[in-house]
Amino acid sequence: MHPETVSTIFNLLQRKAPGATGFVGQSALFYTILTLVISTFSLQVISQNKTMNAASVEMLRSRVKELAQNTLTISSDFIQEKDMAMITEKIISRGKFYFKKEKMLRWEYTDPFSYLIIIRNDQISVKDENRVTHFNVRTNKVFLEINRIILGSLQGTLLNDAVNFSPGFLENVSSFIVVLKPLAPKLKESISEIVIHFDRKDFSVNQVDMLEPGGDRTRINFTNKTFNQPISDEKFVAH
Amino acid sequence: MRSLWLISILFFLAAGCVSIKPKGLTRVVNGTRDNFGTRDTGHVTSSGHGTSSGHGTRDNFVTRDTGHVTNSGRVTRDNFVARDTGHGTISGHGTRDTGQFRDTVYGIQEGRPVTHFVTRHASRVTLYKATLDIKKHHLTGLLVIKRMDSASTTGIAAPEISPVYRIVFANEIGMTFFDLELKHDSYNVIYCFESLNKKALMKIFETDFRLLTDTDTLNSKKYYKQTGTGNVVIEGNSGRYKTWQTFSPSGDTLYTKSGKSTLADPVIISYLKYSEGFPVKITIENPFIGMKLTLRLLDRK
Repeated sequence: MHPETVSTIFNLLQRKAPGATGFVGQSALFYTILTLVISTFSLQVISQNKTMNAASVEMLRSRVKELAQNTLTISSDFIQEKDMAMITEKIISRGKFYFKKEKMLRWEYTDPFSYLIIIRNDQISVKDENRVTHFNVRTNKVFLEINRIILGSLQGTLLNDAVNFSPGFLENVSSFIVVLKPLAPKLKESISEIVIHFDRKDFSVNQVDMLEPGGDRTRINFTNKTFNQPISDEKFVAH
Repeated sequence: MRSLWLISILFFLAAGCVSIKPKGLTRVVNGTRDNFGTRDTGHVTSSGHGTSSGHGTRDNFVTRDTGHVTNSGRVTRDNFVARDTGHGTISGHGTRDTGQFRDTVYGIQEGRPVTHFVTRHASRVTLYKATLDIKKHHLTGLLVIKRMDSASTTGIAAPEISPVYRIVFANEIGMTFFDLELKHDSYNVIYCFESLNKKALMKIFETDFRLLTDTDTLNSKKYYKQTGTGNVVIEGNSGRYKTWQTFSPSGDTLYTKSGKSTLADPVIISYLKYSEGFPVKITIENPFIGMKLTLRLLDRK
C-alpha cells in the first residue's frame, strides 16, 4: 500500500472531536438537527410557481413570526421519501413529530425502522433501536450553532438569516415556497437547497424538500397536524 | 525521515497482528478416493436410478459400489448436485461428508439455504438498517444495495453476466453519506460526504462490498475442516482478493467470509442470521482500522 494511503488512514483515525459520535457523526447529526429545526420552524407557519413580490414576502415573514409567537405545541405525522439520482426506487419512512415551546422537540421514525431524536433545552438524545446517546449542546461549536438556529427559528427569524442562507420566495395557487440556499461552506457540503412549502391558508408547512449536491432529494410531507394541544413533557424523554 | 521509518514499522507490525484466516484448519484433499466414500470405506450406501453422466471418475465416487449408476466423464459441480437431488438417495459417513459439502457449496438449489449475500437469484434492491462505527465515530442510517445490470430485472441473471451494483448509505433523515458503484472491472465513488471521503477508506469500502456481493468465483481452492467446530473452510482467490469462507459442517450455511488484497484492507464478514435463505443480519469488520458496519435487513424488492 502506498505510504500516503497509510498516512491517510492514520489521519482519519486520529481526528479528534468532542462528543460521543465523533467528527463525522457530529456533522451528520448537525444536518439532521438542522432539518428538524427547519421543519419545526416551517410547521409553525406554512404548479406553477412565480416569484413573490416584496409586499408578499414581507407579509409571509410577518405571518411566520406571528404564528411562531402563538404556537405552544405542534404534533404531526410525516412521510419521508428519499429519491436517489440513479436508483428509481424511493426509500420511504414514516413517523411522528412533536414540538413544545420553548425548546422541546421529538422526531420519531416508526416505520420501517425505529429511530428517535429528542432535543430538550441544551440536551440532545438519539435513540437508535436500543441504544441511547446523549449530547450537550454546549460541548462544542457545532451544537452551539444548532442552538443558535433553533432559537432563530422559534423566534421566526430564519427567513431573515442572510448570514447563513440566501432565500428565494415563490408562490403558486396553493403554497408559498421558500427556497433557502446555504451560504456556510460546511452546510453547503451536505445541502445544496432547502425548499419549504407553506400552506397559503394557515401558513403551516405541508412539505420540505432537501436537495443534496449529488442530486439526491429528500421530501418530507406533513399530515394530521394539530396545534396547541397539550403534550406531556414525558414525550421529550428518551428511555 | 526517522519518523517515516517508525510509521512504516508500526504499520507493518499492526498489519501483521491482524489475522483473518480461520483458526484450527486441517487440509482436506479434495476429489480423491479417500475423500468421497469409496468402496474402501464401506459406509456409503447409494442407490441411483437411470444414467448419470458427468460425475467424475469411478475412483472418486461412491457409485462404483452400487452398480446402479454409470459414471463417465469428469466432475462438474452442477452435475454433482443434480445427482444428489435427482437420483435416489445417498447416505454416507465419514469422508463422504466432504462430498456432500461440495454439493451444497457449489450448487444453487431451491429450497435449501442460500449461503451468499447475492446469488443468481439476486433481489434488485435490498434495504438494510445500517450502523457504521469507526473508532469513536458512529453513524447510523440506511444502506441500499441495488443490482443495476439489466439481467437482474428478470430475477435470474445469466452466469456469464458480470453484475453491477450501486451501494448507497444515507442517514435516517435522508442525507447521503456515500454512493458507490461496483463493476467487475471498476469501482467508482459517485458521491461521498466530504468528511468521509478519504481515498484509503474508499478502498476499504471497495474490499468490503466486493466480498459482500461476490459469488462463487474462487480460484485455486483449498478445502479445510475446522478442528472443534467441524466447520468447512474454503480458501481461494477471488480477483485480487485472497479469501476464506467458513461454512457449517453440513456445508449449507455460510457463517463468515474473510479476505484481503493488501495488509491494510482485511475484512471479516459474518452472516449472523438467515431468513428464508437470505442473510438478515450481517456484520462487516475491518480490524486494521477498527471499522465495523452492521446491517439488519429491512426490505427486499
